[in-house]
Amino acid sequence: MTYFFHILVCFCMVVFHTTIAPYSSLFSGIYDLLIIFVIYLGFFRSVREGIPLVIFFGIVMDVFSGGVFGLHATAYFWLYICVLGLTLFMRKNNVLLLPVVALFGVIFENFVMVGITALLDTGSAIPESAVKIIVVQSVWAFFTGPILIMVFKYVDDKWEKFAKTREKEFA
Amino acid sequence: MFSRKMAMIVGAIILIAVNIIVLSVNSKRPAPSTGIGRFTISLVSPFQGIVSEAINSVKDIWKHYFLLVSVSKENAQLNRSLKQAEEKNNRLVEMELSHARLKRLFDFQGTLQKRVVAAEVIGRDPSPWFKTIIINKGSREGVERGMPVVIPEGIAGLVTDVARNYAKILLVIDQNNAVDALIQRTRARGIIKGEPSGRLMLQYVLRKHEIQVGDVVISSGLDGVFPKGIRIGFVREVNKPDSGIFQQLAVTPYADFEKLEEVLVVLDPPEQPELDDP
Repeated sequence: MTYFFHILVCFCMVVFHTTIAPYSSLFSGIYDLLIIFVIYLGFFRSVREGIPLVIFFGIVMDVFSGGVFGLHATAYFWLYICVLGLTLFMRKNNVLLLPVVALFGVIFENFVMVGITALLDTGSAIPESAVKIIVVQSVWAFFTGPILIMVFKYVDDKWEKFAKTREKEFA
Repeated sequence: MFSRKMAMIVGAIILIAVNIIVLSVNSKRPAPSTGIGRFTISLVSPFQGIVSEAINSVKDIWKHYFLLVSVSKENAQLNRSLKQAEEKNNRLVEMELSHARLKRLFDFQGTLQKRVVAAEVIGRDPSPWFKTIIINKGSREGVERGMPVVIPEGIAGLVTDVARNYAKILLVIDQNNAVDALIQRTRARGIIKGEPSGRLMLQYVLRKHEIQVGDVVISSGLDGVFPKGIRIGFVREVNKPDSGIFQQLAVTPYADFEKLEEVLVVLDPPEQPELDDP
């Protein structure tokens, strides 16, 4: 049930990124929302649950993206590992930490995207607008990332409660 | 002498006669204004006025209440009608625009003389670093990997992935895409490559060619993917370095890839053209 819910969230975000955000001026500079979900998984869910989901999310995004296949999966996986590393010596519920982690996540993803593309294709150049894209995404992430993480946590907790009740009813 | 009864009858007759006489006399001249009349009028009239006003007010309220109810109903109905008309108008405007686009696409299809399938753009790349689109036609309609995708303005891209009902198109402006191209005026050959910024670069054009800003760039057909002669863009900037055998040209695509809504997938493979002498 929980996996189903997380996959549903992933599909909703992919649809948002591919059909809503490109046509709306409001979300024109928005960052990859799945980054925030990956951070959430790293902070609040078990590794057993997190790793398959993170790789799955990456593959789904890679299917819809024009980049090298595996680019998103790579970015999400290593970001997840970084977040896991952070949780070893930082408190998960530290609200002040969340904007910084969201910011780091967005910068990390863009770094991986541009870096790996440049490494694999020697002819490719970093676009002039790269700095602007990253700055806009970072601002978005800094302010909305923590809220989204809290929303994910709240909805996930509610969903888990609901799923447990249903399981008990069926048992 | 007279009985009491008789006296009463005579008295009544006299009274009636006097009354009639007085009335007939009064009817001949206006009644004189007396103090009693004025006083009575002054005393009663204010109350008359108040009561009359009150009655009129009640009447007005009553009348207006019903009027307002009907006006309010009418207003709600007119608002509904207006919204419906606006919605219909918007639908018609959208249909008109869609019709114009499809007509251009249809006219363009006629010039291609190849089997094509028209498709609608339903999604875009989730990453700002890459330029792909998702269309609503797939293998069921005969779309295959590697097929060229065109629009009336020129080349749009290349099919890179196909599902049963959908396909992914790598746009010509993506950095991973390359098209063999010609300068229409000079027939100079080069390779059009996309840039992450959404612009195009024409590379590997020999220095000896005199290229001017504004020259039209078309597909050469030599890449075995895109049909020959389809417009790509125009030269925006010529960069001739002091050394080297090639010059580099910045090209502005004719198509606005941000506003791409419908595309044509060319189903027939291109004929291999003979190489033009540069």
